[in-house]
Amino acid sequence: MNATWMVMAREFSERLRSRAFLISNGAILALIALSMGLPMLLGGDGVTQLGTLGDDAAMVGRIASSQQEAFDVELELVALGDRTEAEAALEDGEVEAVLLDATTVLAEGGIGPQLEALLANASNAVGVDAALAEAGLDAEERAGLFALEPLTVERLDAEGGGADLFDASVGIVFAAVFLLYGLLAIYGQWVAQGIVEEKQSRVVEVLLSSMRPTELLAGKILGLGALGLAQIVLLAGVAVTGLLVTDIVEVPGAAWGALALVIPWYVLGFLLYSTIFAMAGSVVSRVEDMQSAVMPVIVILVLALFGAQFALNDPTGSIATVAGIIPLTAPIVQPILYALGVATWIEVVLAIALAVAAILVMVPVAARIYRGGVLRTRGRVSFREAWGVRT
Amino acid sequence: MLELDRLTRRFGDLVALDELSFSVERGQMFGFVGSNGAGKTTAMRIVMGIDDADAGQVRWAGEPADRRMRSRFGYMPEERGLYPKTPARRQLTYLARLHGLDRTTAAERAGQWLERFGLGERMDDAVEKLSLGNQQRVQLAAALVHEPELLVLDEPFSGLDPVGVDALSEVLLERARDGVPVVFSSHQLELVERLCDAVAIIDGGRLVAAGRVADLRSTNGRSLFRIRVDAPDHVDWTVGLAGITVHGRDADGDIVELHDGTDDQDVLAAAQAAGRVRAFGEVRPTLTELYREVVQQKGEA
Repeated sequence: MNATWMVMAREFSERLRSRAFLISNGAILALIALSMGLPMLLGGDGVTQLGTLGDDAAMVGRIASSQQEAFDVELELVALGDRTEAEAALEDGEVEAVLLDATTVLAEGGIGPQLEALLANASNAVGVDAALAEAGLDAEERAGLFALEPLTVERLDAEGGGADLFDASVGIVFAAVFLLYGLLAIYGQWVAQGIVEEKQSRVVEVLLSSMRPTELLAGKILGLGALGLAQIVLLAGVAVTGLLVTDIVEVPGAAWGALALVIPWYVLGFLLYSTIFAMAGSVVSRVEDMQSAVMPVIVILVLALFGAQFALNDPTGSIATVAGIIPLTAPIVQPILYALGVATWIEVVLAIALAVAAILVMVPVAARIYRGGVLRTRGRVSFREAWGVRT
Repeated sequence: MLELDRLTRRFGDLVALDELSFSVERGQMFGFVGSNGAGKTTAMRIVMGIDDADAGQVRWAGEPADRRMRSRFGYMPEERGLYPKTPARRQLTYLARLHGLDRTTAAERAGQWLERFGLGERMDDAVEKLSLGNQQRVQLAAALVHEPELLVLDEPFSGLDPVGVDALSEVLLERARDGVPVVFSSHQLELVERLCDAVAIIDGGRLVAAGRVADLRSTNGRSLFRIRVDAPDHVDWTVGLAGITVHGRDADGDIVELHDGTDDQDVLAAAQAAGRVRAFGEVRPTLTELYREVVQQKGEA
């Protein structure tokens, strides 16, 4: 146990020290910060200052303000005296656009499609209102004409409930699952790479003279797994804090649950996949040969990611349900199903139980393959040879 | 004392070790000799507990070797045995801690050994950045850092220049003088003959000869002499001399085997009677000759 602990500490700290690790993590953190910070920087506080000249323009501005939510724009009206003042205000950045009259907008550059549509709509409404007044309708009648029911949207696939990736909660969980996929692939390959490197450099012989193969393997898997856990917690923590602070998207309560579930699924997924990666690493002797050995495992991971996308399109379909339960795909598919609200508790518990069972089966198998393969330093060992080394 | 007792190891149909037995005394420099694939590495791995024998036992100080005892053995695998990208001191510290030293002592010892091997300035450089000779020094330091009670070294001299060979021999001899048995394998038989008190020669997983170098070289009880006599007119001085057999002649003299009961002083007297004796000395086969003889014999059998 002591040896396992020391191997763990080494795996954790050696990777943590490596420049590639620090750079890639810095890049991911910067990306998260940027994706959160950029809209804030560009959009300022999200409020558009709109100048108006004269009564007609002010009327258009008021109508636009009343409809702003539908266009996802927030307006603040600023009454200005004349065109000179308007131009000065534009140049100073006090306002972003100025309505010169009911039908003309002045801006430095463009004003963006949403604001333009909103203002065009308001401007039309004022024009129509004036035409109706001329036609003899009184104010009350005209008001009645404008207070129409909002549009009802009907969906063709309302029954299937195909998820919208741009729905905030699903988008966030999908991003988290994608991160989980990436971590499983990277850390899994590190397990395999570490095994091959120790084999190639013969360090493994020195290590095995003071510990058992299972202790060495356990230390490797747990050390790298702990680093991956720290990383996913850190990245998710930064992302969640960012979401809470910036308020860019509204995160519904259910999404938090699904997000929290990503962490235990990382733990289960890593324990399962790392044993498979370890076996792949045990049978080759050179780092150059490692890629071909881990390729089948990567393919399984990619298929699991496809499964997650499949689940987004058809969450209640049998493929999604099955992929959400079988151990190799569940870590990536199950959190999506949970976020979509289609996973029953029975399915969640069953998926976890099966994953734990698979880990319990794979650990001794991987330990045996590792033990059989790790001292064979010439060429590639077949799984059968590695398995049957004691016969 | 280290004892290998009838170690047998099979890989599928291949018998890598076949009832291999020998023992190494306290403070002994012990050479382990055999052709490639003879089973040297397998035997050393079994001694270190890296591999397990199918049958037989490794004993240390009379007790079956266990993990606790083996944590006080030092091992150097063939070729490498270090993390290429890790600085020398950090990995020596790690290896020392794996052998049970606490963090402070481990770091201290690592530094001391690297200083001792002249790597004081470079102990924080990645091992792969060091020259091959220096890498080998670090590797030896890795085997010594926990001050082991037994050293097992697989081909420690391969790839070293003569200066490196001398430096390594010196350290190993010093360890042996402190009472540590040093077992190493090598193809350089002259070196083994020069350094070792005892050797084991194996072939095809079987022991073909073992014992003190001096005993092995004393030619299985035969006594051979090289005798050069400047006889007038190149008369053959051996003609008519009883109790001897001539095995060969060349410019350096005659190789003469003395039969049991033949007194070497009588032979000397006979030679002196025939002419001026320029050389008269016992011939002992070198380890190389001995090795060829025992391995060939087995090949012919």
